[in-house]
Amino acid sequence: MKLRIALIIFAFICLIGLSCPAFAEKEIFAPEAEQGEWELENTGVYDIDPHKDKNAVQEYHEAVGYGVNSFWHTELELETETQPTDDAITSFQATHMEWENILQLAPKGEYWLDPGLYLAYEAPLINKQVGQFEGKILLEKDIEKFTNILNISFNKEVGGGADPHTDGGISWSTRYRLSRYFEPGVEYWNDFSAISHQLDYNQQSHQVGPCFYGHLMGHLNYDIGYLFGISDAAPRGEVKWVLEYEF
Amino acid sequence: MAVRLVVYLVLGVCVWLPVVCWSQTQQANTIIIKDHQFDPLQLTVPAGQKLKITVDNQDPTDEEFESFDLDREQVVEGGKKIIVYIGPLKPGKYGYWADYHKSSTGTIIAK
Repeated sequence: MKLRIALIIFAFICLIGLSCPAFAEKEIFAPEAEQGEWELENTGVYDIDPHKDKNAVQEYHEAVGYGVNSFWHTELELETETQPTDDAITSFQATHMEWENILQLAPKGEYWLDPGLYLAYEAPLINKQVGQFEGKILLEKDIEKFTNILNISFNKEVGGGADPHTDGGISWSTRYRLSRYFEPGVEYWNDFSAISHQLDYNQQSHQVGPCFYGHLMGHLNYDIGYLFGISDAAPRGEVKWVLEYEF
Repeated sequence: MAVRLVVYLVLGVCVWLPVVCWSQTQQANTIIIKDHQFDPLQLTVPAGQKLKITVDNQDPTDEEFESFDLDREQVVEGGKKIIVYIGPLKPGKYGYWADYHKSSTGTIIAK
């Protein structure tokens, strides 16, 4: 219990001073931790856009996670990404090492809304990059066979050359629990950039699209989707996926 | 005589009804895991109410209470108990299983 209280206090302290440029990864987190469970995870995005500077942008995360107890899940993650260059040949490199933590603040179903927190620190692997803290408020509500999850994100860069502003965003997922193997759903992603700037709609990134979730072969979870850009700042299309092997 | 009989009946009901209700409530809200099997295999619960179910793992090994229908997945350590909050449920059948010993299954029936 003392550990739980200490973690929650730590979480709130981190959330207060948060900041960062974009979402670290395209995954919507449920406020859940599964005790004793290991997981290997691959997360990725691939952007499609007629503009050369936004086309073929890719980002991958390879992670190892563990459920320390019934309210704390921790994960170590390597982030690699490609950025388009002038000659259209993308450079591909490992950019960050990330430590993620999910805190489940109440047993599922005890309250009307299931609450949780996500806290992460990304350490740069490249000299020109900066580190960043990321915090999210995780909320989940089951309504009959529909599972609804809302993540409210705050990001802050740290280190020399860091952007002084705190960025924020919202991501939403609604899925229909059709079967254990196949759950159709929809996701909405909004990155409203620096909270203090209050950018116009088209200067913010807004994406929405169909996603499919499920459980295969006993240990494999998938989450695959296609997001349509619905504002100028977003890529026209984005393929996203999360593959997770639990054991 | 008739009056005395009625009084005895009323007193009997007053004494036994809470005991019966209490024991039924206790039984209805507990699922025991023993020898990797659920007991009871079918648990009848009231529909339309929020429920608190105790899962009591009497085995020395860990187990996971899992249900796709109820959207629940919780580990219960060997020799320990957990509380699973469910509902309000619509009338119907809701399956669950022991994830570490998948042959063990059970059903919650909401009426």
